[in-house]
Amino acid sequence: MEPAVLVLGGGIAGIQAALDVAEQNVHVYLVERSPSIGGHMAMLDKTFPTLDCSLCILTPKMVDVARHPNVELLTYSEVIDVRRANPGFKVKVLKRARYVDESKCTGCGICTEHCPIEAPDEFNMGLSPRRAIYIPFPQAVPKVAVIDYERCIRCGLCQLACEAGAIDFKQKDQELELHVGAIIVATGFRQVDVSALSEYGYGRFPNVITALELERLLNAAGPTAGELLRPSDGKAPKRIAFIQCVGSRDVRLNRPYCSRVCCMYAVKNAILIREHHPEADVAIYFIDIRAYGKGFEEFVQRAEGEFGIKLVRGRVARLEEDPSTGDLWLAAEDVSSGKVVMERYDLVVLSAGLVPPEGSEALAKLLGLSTDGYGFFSGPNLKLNPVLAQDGIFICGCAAGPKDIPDSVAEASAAAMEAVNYLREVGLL
Amino acid sequence: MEENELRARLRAAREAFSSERVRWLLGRSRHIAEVGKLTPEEAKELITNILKEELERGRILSELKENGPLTVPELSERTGLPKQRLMWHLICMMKDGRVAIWGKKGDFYAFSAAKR
Amino acid sequence: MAKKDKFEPLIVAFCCNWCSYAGADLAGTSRFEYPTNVRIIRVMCSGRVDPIFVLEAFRLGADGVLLTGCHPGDCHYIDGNLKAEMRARYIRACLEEVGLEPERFRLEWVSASEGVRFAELIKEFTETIKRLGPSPLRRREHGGE
Repeated sequence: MEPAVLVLGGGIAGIQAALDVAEQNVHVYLVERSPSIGGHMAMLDKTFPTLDCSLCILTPKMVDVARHPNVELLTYSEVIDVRRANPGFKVKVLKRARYVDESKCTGCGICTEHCPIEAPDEFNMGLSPRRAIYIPFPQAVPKVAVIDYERCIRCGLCQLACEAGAIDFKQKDQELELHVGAIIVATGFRQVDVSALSEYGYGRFPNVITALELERLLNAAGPTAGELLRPSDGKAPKRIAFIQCVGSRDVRLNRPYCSRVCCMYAVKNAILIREHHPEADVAIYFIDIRAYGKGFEEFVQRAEGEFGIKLVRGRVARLEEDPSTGDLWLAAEDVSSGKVVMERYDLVVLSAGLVPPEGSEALAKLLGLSTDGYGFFSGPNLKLNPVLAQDGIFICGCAAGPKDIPDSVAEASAAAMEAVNYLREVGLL
Repeated sequence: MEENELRARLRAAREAFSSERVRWLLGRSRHIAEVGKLTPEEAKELITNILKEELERGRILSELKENGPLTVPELSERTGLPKQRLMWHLICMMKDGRVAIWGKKGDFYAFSAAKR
Repeated sequence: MAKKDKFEPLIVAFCCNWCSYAGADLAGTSRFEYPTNVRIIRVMCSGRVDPIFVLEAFRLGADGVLLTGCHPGDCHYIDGNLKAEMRARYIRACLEEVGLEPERFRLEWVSASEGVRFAELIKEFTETIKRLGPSPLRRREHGGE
């Protein structure tokens, strides 16, 4: 059996793990359930604390992993069965039909211009449209169109427009059987569902948005070309508030843990807003500011000093909308002054916490993995071996708990090393 | 109905039937009803709904062409369409290049018909 | 009201060259009488008529628009009339959305030998439009609502 490692998840952690294993001359299957690799990092505008353009640092790795001779990219695919094979595992992967021939599609995008069916674009958090045939984002890897078969009406306009003849409505889902020595789980996270916190009115008040929605609005490739328009009426918001710990440190929702990145991403977003719109007033309502990492504390100081962002220690009790204007009244306690404040804002951003992605529970069952009380994967010795979940199965990145990009990358490399060592242990290398 | 309103709607209809989306869809409607996934009734309903959507967009476009850059509240007053629906239409038309953000009028962003 | 009796509909008819225009010609040479309210525009095929032509006719003040073509199966260009039929459906839907009565637009098949039918059609359609009244764009001329 040729030694191979299965990496589940094509975000930054999965990509790093795949690259590191591949560099050890071991074959890697990188399985990603969405049509492109990149994960959440591809959706971010800038990263903290360096203010690097997220895609600028991610895309070289995306291309590296796609081109690596030892990496087999299986996108729009999901693991449906796993069995121990001693050594290693027998894995069944469902490769879903794109209805587009990957070998013929050039990624030109003409098909997307002809499709008459519109749908909310998941990459832009539903704030802009995509078509039933679409390329997930301009830097998608692989840059191949995919048809959302539920919405497609089989009008065939894409087929007429495609000069490469790549549209194939006869395509079928494929089941692949892989034999691998080790598995690395890098399935990432999703943003908590903030509509569960009815006191903040998300879903009812159009000008209450989540952090990821703000990232897309600020991004030059986003729904409004990087201009910050507030959702209800296209006003340029003059007063903006961030609310921290939404869905984190929350006993009521059974999410008492800290999501680790929200303080820093809120400060980063606040800085970006002040950079674009120096006339805007920005305030962050927090319980604590967690600036634990390299350059983090300096970043927060910069935000307050250089960018004039107001940091207000105090929990926000609720938001109320003024229906005639769409403005929001924010009721909070200001711990420093000891008073309850009621402030009016044009736009409120909820710093939503990180939770395990959809399907984590099922995946845990499939792989026989233990999870902590909140659905993140865990292992027998998290103190001294944070990336070990089980014999031959390793975890890294946010799949193992919320963390930022550098920590995800570090864990991914650790998991890759252990996976390759495991292959040696069981005699596959 | 008021004369100017009807005139505006007919201009909007002309815009809608000039749009690539409607023209391609109508051209393909026989194929959709016969060979596609939908029954003829479903096809007719879908095409009519898309036509209605494009009529609203055509109205926005013709208002922008006749009256220069407009903000969302201004468009809402002229067209009678709710502001959030206008925002969605404008974002869709930005995506296919028919409309662009022109700049600011006071506190509000204004949109203009894109030059082709 | 006396003024309302004076309403003479302005009807635009797009007639295809091979069948319905010939039919109109036959009505003429046979001296069948029909109202003078109609302005005939000859097109090579009913399939030539873009929905925009119909909408422009209404925008410029037509009270009614008629589209005539060959019977299905007889089209000189094979299926041009089928395209016209499909477009007519959505023209009617559009008129409804816009707020004009869809009855102001009609699609009919008239062959080259149907001179009588053509004359009858014009008579009938003119009556329909008289009943519906002037287009809202022309109501001012006809003494208001």
